[in-house]
Amino acid sequence: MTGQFAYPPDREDASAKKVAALESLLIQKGVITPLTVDKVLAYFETEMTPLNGKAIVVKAWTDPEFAAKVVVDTPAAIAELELPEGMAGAEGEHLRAVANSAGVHNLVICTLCSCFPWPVLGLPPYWYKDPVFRSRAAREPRKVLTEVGLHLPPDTEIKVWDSSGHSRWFVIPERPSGTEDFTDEMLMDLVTTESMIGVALAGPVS
Amino acid sequence: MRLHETCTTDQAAPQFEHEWQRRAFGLALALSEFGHYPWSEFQQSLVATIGQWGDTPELERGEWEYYDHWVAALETLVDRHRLLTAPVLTDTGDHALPDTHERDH
Repeated sequence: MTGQFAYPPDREDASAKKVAALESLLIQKGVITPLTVDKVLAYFETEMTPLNGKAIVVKAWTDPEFAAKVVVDTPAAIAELELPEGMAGAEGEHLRAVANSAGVHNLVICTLCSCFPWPVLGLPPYWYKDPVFRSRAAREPRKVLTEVGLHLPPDTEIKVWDSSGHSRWFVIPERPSGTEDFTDEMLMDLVTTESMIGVALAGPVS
Repeated sequence: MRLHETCTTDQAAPQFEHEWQRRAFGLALALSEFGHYPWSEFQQSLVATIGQWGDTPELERGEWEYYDHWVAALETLVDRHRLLTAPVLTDTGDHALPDTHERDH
């Protein structure tokens, strides 16, 4: 399958040229300024990061009331936290959280394209958008999880959540044992983007 | 069958493989942020172009490259909203004025 993801070398070039041309035409026309794209990217890259998701998970680990609320009305629960203002329309408004528990593991995919909860997780890892990953994870989640190094007990139920324009799922992983004395900061280090997609567990505890 | 070699769960996995993908991402987001089209319309356009790829027999379609679809979706919206052809109507904050959209529909 090595060749499956190869593509002609000039193809990337063509897309790169198209994007550059489009941006410069839009600037010339006055639709955007030369700074617009950089400003949007800078905001996105500094504010819409997995730090938001980490903060949500740690809050759920340390506050049972919040934990109960975040899976019922995710946007309302998140609004109580001091997180950056979400950019209107950029994927934040339909956030839904699902929590792992003993015997239940959640995995988030998007079979149609890549509906990813950017505001809490940042941008998806690029393999997340790969059609092979998406379709296989829907069909044989246990096998795919094993391949990426997550070996779940055979009796653990795996629930696969298909993100869409209306529901952008993310996972609240289980709090690792042995972390009772951890500060919030130490706990945040245990929460990875992968664990919030459901392709890994939180941790490891060192 | 294994996932291809770029499928790692390494946290350091790059979000964009190339700078042009980052620009394409930022441009689509910026045009929506400044009111030239609603984000849901961009998503629908992206879903449509990816769906078209998915429906094309394997031998006839190009290799998978997510950001090629992203750029195609963006081009569709730039055309549909005549962003390069109609007069630009923005407020002092560079946001599109409401009638820009009404004229398009």
